Amino acid sequence: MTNHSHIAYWQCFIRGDEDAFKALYDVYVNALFAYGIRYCSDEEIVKDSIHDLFVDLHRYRSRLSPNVNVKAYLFGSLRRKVVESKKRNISRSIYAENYRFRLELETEDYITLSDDKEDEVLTKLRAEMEKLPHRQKEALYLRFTCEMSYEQVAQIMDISIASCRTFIYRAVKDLRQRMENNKISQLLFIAFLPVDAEKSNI
Amino acid sequence: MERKIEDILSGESPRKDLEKEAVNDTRKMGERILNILKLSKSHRLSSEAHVAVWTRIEETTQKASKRNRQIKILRYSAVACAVIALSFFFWNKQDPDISYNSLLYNAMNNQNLITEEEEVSMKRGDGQQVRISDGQEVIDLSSDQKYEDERKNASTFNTLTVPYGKRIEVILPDNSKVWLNAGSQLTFPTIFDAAERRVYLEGEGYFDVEGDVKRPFYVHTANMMVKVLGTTFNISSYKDDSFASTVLLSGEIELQGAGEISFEPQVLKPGTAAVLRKNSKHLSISQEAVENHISWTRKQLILKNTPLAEVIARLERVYNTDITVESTSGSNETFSGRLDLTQPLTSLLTTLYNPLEYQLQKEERRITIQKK
Repeated sequence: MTNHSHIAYWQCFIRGDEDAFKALYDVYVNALFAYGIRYCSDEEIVKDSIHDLFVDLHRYRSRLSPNVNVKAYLFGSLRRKVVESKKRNISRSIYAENYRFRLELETEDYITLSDDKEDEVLTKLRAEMEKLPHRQKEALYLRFTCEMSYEQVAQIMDISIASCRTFIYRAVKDLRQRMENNKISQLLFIAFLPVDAEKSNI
Repeated sequence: MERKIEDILSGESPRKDLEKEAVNDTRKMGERILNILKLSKSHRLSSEAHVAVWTRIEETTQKASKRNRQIKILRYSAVACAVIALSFFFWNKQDPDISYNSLLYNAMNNQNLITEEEEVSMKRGDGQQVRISDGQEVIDLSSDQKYEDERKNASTFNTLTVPYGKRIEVILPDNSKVWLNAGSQLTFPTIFDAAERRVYLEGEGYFDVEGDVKRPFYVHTANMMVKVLGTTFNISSYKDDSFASTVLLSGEIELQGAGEISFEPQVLKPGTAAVLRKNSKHLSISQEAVENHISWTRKQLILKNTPLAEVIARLERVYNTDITVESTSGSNETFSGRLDLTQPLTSLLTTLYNPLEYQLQKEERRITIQKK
């Protein structure tokens, strides 16, 4: 998504406008937080990373390019900050895992469907999505939850546009196959139901 | 050959391509995936955390710039300046939560006026009630902002009420224009804050907001909040409608939930409509013929597969008339076309109800439609 108004904030900020700096923070902090928390469930680390990100922006503002994709730039920078601070923390702890991405797909309580069957399918699908490889999940999140272009996703994840597309392709294909297998096992289950259940159908 | 869902979703415009598919399992699967991702729980910073993180950023950056200045000889004067600037900054800063709460408080206190008033009227910040005569089509408040300095400390609110059967255009103190539809109410500060502009809308309004990068414009409604940076859009948020909608014509707006509704903030692109169904609390965003939504500003009503009940509800508001249909046949029908709202109501109703089959009875502000 290209945001003309946000690039205006960005350029004002680079020229030294403090209000524009605050505006950038206000516009992006929630999206950045929502993204960061999917990387690292520790809220404090995410908040610290956001702090460091904005302090760096302010400090090096004269060196920033006035023509960037603001959102992709900020997301990408936050990603690096979170990974850095996670590494720092991890070296002190026993965990070796340093790349994890959770989709956090539970919906808000307000979205309730009247249709139980559809609800069941969605719950199953959500569970399958969370099981996907982390990088595929991240690509799905950036592309569809944040509605970014492949170019932006590629910039943030520091990969090529082609591999970005492959992530999405594989993730969706995997989901489709898993859901289809699911259906088949359900059908098999029905086929093995007791005989009198079948009779009542005739 | 049939396209697989992974082909569609990994393409350049998955949503559009999906809509082109026939309603089959592939399309259903795609919609499920997109909806799940789009509507996943939003993790937002609490408002305290929002402020706290910013305060920390400010402290760190100011420390850094102070250090730079200290290298120069201007050490003491710079520190003094910073202190003055800081205190000036905090002096002027108004807590956004407080200003929002008092806006909300004022809006809620005056909602009874929509049904009680006969004429368009404005309750001013000083408590005075101004009635707007029937012929006047525009209220111009753009000169109000000039008195800013004199009344800086008094944050008071105007409430503009448009009863059923009326319509008005208002120019706000910042030069933004709002067309208010029948049965609507707009509450706004007599003077806009230096840092932001907030208004509360009940009913329907078409906004043409004056661009101002430094002063974002917020429209609050019962279910949604729209953040604006200078654009034109339509919001419909009537209490008695089963839906609330926001339609963007130009520029860019950000949509957030309000009250019991919450969802990941949505940025709308020009030509899209966001419709919130109140009973399922489900938000859908789609490309729509946006002119349907704003046709009322040109005294027209454009219908596109609009259910009869919705058409009737709209006409009731525009003409301030109760319409009772004593026949359930045709209640599932939908209508497409254009209605001219300068026509008398009875002639509009005869285009909806064939006079050979239905009988229209009019008394005062009540119309009854019966099958012959």
